[in-house]
Amino acid sequence: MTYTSVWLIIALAGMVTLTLRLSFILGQRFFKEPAWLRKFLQYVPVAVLSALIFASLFITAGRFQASWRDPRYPAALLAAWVAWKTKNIFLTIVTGMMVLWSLKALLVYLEW
Amino acid sequence: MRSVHLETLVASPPPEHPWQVFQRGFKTVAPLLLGIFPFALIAGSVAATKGLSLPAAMGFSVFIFAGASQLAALELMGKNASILVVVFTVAMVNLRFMIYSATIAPEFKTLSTPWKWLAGYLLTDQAFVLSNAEFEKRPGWGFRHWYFLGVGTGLWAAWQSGSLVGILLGAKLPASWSLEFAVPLSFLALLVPNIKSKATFMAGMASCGAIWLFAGLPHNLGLVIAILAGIFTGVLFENKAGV
Repeated sequence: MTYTSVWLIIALAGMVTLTLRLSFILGQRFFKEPAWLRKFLQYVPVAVLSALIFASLFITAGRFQASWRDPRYPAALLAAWVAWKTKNIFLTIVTGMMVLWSLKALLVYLEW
Repeated sequence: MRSVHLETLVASPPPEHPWQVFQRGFKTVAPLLLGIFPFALIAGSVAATKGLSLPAAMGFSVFIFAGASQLAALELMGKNASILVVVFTVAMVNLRFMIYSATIAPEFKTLSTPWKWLAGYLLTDQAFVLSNAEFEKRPGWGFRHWYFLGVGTGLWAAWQSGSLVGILLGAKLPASWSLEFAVPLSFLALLVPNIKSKATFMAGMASCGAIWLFAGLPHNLGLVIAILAGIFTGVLFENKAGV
């Protein structure tokens, strides 16, 4: 990639992303949001986050891939339980990382 | 008369100041930094290892300011994809921002145009989810834009500083630390409190099922399909429960 094309990508991708973010915030003056849309939009956070989590845990290069030995699964399960019990973001992430590192160390120790 | 007056005085919450609200938003982000910072480190180090100069790599983080799409773009640039394909992919990965924009737009309706531009620029996954949850609790809140600015600024600062450190470290970041795992963990922490009903639970399940089925589609279209599937499933179950 040349110097020019890298900066062209940055400029274009930046403009496109900003346009998507501003679309409805700025566009409201020009069109009215229908009332039924609210009902649909309340499911956006759950839908987006679930898909992103599932993809990062089970999808590699566009394919489903999972292994029983993957220490990320017990770590994610325990983190989800902590999130459910405490609703604490910090504790959730710390638990997940601690479990992951411990299990990885254990796997190395057991030479599994 | 006087006692009635006093009572209303006592009952009303203490007055809020923009700066206080801003700080509260800023502080809400603090625990999320554990997820943002490693993500930014990775985005920065990938940019550096793909041969981007420091200004160009920082340009990615400042002008695009959306981690998943930055990584997707870098991946394609490494494969010498055409500029249009890279930009199109970024647009597809970031299509969800349009949904956030539509969801949060009513809250920002009365803001001035510069405020709207600022809020739009700072609209990320985490800023959306955190502010949306707070706005739901406080309809008609006069300081919501200050809260959003606090959240957005905190996330922005974490993203830019993490990117910078990542670029400077480059390939020196050990893969065995599995820092990338902090990303789904931070999403998990945001997701779980949002599962409040059967409808939201089913929305999440449908979204997972759809991404499983459609992950192989080009340009991250699977993600868009999954979001739509989740939304429609949620509404479907809500209607069922309601009638």
